[in-house]
Amino acid sequence: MTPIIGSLRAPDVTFVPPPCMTGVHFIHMAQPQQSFIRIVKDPECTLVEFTEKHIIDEVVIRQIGNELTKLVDDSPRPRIVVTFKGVEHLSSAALGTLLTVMNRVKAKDGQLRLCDINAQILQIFQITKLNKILRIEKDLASAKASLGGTK
Amino acid sequence: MAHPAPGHAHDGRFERSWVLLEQRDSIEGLQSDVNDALTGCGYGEAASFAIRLALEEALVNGFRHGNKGNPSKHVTVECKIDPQGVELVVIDEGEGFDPGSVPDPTADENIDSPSGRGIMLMRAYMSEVEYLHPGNRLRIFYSNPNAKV
Repeated sequence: MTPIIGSLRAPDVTFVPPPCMTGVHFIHMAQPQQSFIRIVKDPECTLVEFTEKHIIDEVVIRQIGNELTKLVDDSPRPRIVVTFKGVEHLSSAALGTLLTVMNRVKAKDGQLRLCDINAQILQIFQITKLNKILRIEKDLASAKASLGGTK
Repeated sequence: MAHPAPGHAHDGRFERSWVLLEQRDSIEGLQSDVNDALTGCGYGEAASFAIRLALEEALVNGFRHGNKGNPSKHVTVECKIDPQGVELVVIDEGEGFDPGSVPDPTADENIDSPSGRGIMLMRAYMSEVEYLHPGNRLRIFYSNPNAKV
């Protein structure tokens, strides 16, 4: 392989300043908590949709985790379907949050289904072998159909 | 051979460095720049997906584990793209990291643990992943599957 390091000139360096150095001030404490999921109550289940196409930012993932945890905690026996329609990127931190939610759902003898996962995202679940412990269905209809037990 | 102008893709080549604090808009700016460079150098969607994912995991590791969440510490990213592949070096201000200390996340005893999958994903999507001495410099390389030998 051609050594790429030696064939190129020295890089320029760009310092990307934080907002406080550019005159733009963000006061995070004063901002209302933004939601990154949409919760749809369905007669058969609680449907969760993501409003972000990139689920990679730790702040976003933490907030999603908090909202999903509340959803599980507020239900005596949760039946949750999470649709990944429109999601284009997913990080390992998001996988960790899904596992934490799955464990909470199992602890309440509930059910969790994931669906509408595109081929690239599905590969992430397969590489990490999480497709073996998270129940993944092709689409919303099959996810709902797979939910057993009482509503 | 013509050299690329710094920070601009030219003749399938690109080279640039960034120094970042842990700010989402800075990270998104970096990801956007790298993605534009990949497109400009003729790389396709599969490469963009793989590199975005690996770079995100590398940055999270650098900020969280390397810099231990210290908001005043930086992560430096060096990116070199040519027709053979894409090299990224991610340098944090930590004391170094032993990737051997991370247990196999696919082992039965770890499979439902919420952490430990970042390095695994980088290894799955990149051709080469190595921590350079003293362990705070991560080098990842994506080999262009369409490169002419």
